[in-house]
Amino acid sequence: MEKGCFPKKRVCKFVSFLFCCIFLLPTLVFGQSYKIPQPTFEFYANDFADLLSSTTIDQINYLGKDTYEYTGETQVVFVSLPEIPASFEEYSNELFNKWKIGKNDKGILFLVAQGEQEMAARIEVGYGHEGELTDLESDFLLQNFFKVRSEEGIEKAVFNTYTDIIRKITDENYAIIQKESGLESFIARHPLAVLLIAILIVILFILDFIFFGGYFTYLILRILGSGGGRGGGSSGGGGRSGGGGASRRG
Amino acid sequence: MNKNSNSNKFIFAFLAIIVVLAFFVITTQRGLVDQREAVEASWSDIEIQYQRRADLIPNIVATVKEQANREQEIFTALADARSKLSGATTREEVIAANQEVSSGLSRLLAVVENYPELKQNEAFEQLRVQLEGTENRIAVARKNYNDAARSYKRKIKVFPTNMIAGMLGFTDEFPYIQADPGSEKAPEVSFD
Repeated sequence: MEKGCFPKKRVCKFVSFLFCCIFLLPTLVFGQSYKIPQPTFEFYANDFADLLSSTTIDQINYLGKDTYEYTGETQVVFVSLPEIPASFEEYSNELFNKWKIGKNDKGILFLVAQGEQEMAARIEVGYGHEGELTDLESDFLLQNFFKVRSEEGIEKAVFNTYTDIIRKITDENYAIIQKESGLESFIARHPLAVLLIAILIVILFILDFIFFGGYFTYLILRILGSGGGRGGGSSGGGGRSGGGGASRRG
Repeated sequence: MNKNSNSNKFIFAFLAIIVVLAFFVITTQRGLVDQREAVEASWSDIEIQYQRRADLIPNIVATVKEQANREQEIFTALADARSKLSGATTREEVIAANQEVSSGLSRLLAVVENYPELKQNEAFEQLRVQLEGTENRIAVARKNYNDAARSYKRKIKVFPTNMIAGMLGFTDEFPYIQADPGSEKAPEVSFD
């Protein structure tokens, strides 16, 4: 019985090997042409070329998250690359579709690649936003990007263009989003003022413990505890792009 | 009794084989239909983008003509390619007509380099951006179409699906679209 089973097993192994060959070979031959990196945990700011300070990265992440929460479907993602891919537009489209930016195809990718002599920038627009952000308008934003970069530096240029994109697709509602993001950007911009306020709060807590036995402190902690915090990661919403948008080099 | 049960077994085995075969044919047929639909859909995507590009041509030609009416030959070539495109019925004809449109447009853009005042022209600049965007959409649609066609072609050629594809009339009616000559080349940067 044992002996009779043995060749069968070998046949099984051979057949499964054949199957593997047949099914895996095409994926090897027609696999992806680029090595697309994984997005960061926060998803919205992916500064692979180290162009930005952590302050700006945080601001972009907060703005991106707020935009997504406010619209329910729009994701605007910034990516910087340390080199210009051989086919910049193809790379951009592949990254967009692999990360699945935006829900209901309402995603926008702002891609900046730092080459040795020049910089390539592209705004790739998902199917769902092609109406609001046409190729011409994307190109206009990129013209502005290179203008700000030569006048005020890359960091300012990236942040400006990122907010320009959000303003363009949310119309006048950008003010609401910006207001909601206000606290974070305030902390980022005025660390000294924030420190003073923190010291003041600590003093108030100490006074509270001395005079009221910590009654107000516990009350505030309870309220905060039920509210929950923000932050945490995000990921793509399943969006696709057909190559809409514009690119520019400078 | 013994003989009877033997023939019963035979009938059962026969029925089982029929059921398995029928199941195989049905699932394969469905898979083939789905894949053919996917190729058709990606083909209509690319046709939309081709049309979008063709619609830009009259405006581009009109803008260029103002400054460069010596390049009559290119305008004629573009007009010819465009009328060929509107008359094209088969996929091969559409692809061939669009290759002509592509070469006409790239010749036109090359010629524009000789007219500095045209490069400064805002209307032309806007048309150029729109054309670039459309060309990029065509590139994406072409890749999607070729990928879908490749997997469909493969399916109707490999064993055992090829037998069923042959029986049910699934034929290879989707030609690959080659990238336009020159369009894959990275633009040259000169520092002078």
